[in-house]
Amino acid sequence: MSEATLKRLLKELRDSQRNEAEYVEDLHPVDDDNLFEWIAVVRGPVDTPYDGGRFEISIKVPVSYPLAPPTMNFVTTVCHPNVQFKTGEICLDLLKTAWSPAWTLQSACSAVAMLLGQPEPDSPLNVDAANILRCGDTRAYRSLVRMYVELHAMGSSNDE
Amino acid sequence: MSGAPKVSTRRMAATREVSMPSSGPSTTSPTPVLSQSDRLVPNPINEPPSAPMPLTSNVTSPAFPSSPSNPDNLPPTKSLDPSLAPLSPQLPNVTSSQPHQRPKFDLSFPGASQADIIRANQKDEQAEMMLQQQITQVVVQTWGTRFHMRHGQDINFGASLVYYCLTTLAGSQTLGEEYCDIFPVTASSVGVPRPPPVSKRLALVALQCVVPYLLSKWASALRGQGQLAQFANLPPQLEAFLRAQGQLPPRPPVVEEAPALVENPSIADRVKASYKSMQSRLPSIIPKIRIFLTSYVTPLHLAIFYFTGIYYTIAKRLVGWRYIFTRQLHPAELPISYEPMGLVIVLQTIVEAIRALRSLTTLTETKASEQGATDPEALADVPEGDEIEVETDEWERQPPPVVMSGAKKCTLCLEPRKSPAATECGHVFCWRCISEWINESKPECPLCRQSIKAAHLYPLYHYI
Repeated sequence: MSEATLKRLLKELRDSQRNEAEYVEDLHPVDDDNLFEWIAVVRGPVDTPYDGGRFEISIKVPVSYPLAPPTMNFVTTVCHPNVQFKTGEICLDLLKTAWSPAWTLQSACSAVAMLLGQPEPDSPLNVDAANILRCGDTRAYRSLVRMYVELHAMGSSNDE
Repeated sequence: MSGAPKVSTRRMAATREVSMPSSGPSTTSPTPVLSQSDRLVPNPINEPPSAPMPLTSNVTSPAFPSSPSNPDNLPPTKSLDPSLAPLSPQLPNVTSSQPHQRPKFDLSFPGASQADIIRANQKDEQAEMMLQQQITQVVVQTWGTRFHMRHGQDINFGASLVYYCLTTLAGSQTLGEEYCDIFPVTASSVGVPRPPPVSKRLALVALQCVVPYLLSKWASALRGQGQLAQFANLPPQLEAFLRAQGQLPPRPPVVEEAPALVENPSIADRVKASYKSMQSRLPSIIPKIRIFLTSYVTPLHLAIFYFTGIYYTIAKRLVGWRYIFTRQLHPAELPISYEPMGLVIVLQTIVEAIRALRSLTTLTETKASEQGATDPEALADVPEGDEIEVETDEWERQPPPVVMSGAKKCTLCLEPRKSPAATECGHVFCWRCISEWINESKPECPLCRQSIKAAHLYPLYHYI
């Protein structure tokens, strides 16, 4: 069981190095000895307030992967209705109930990047951001998000 | 439902008894009527309804109520007795001693038409199947599927035996016969139809249910022996290995016969030996017999039924099991002619027979030519070019290999598929990967989310 998981993770590592997904800038294990903890960096989608930001995601792979979904958390502070502001927890059905082993870590990261552009205010983890969006005040939402992106996501990229 | 036909048969018996002395409309001249009834009473039931029978096809129920009020009526107990001798032989005596007036109408029933017999048969099959399904359900719920898989044939046999014992053997109509208002009769030697006696009913049930079941059991047992016989040619090491693994039954103890017995074999031994030699040949013969029966005998019998309309099954022909039709037909309800169907079947059978004969002759020819080819001299005669041509022909005949690069990977383990399995939605994974996903997570396809069951995974052999 665990051997199959390791094999698959190795495969995924090789595949992600070979072909890059659109919004996934980087995807690698934290260290070479442990394939069950990964770090990913996704870019904010174009035409969204997240454009230009780089967001770090920590990934914890369960032993029963790919039968069970990986746990993903934003390390970078993100202002988004479906992301917990402090812990970085992501509310995405794909990472919970709708997981399918046909997904890979890379495709899951892509999905998270897409989530940034398509917030779902009806199942919020960040109630304030969701409320602004629900009121239809897109300008306030965009400017708020942009502020946090420039505060946290762009700065770190500039630092590196 | 079951009351009505019984009444009608009693009436039939009663009126037939009664009609002879006198009743019905008056006629002045008895002689022409006598000749008519003489012709009509032993009216062969077996005649198809399409045959010209102007009177028999119009059985009039209004005639029945008149009989009980008749003062000349015979005692009803006598008339109801089914063991009464048929009337036609008494007819000359009766007419000579009692010159009564005779009825002008005819009281014999017409034979059932093909359509009714076929419909009755279908209805019976349906009822039989329902019974089988219900019994199967009970068995599966009580003893489980494994038991049912092992004894399914016996269960079905038991169900149909119960069905026919409760209907035919008990002396009543089957559900199908009742549905179509037809009634089983047997023609006695004198030609008057009577309800079939117990012996015939027993014979029919035996021929219909028991004999086919026993034959199929015997055939399958023989087939099993044939498969065992194939193991006889195994190399000794492999055989020993298989026996150790329990794949083969233990070798039957070889009884060394006393030399005296061999020298003077008794008749019983000879019979045994001949039976054994026949037994070894039978597994190869039985399929041929079965093919012959299903492709020639059964269709031809069906064609005969379509022409004459008497015996639908071979079992019924053997027993002499006929049907009379007890309902009055409206003038608009004309029986359909089945003769074209019979013609088609005959034609088809002839064509098939011709084709089979032709393939047989070509087979023997090719065998002969093969034997010629194995002959070293004949081989030397064959030019090399011909052989090469044959090879290329065979190569062309093979289907082109399917090339699917990149599609050979399992999306779950991301490796080339091992023992591929397909879901109902058509997606292919490794058997292990997909079954683990179904059993440990949730029963839906990882690719399209259609719900799937572990029992509905299809292993794909010879597919990578």
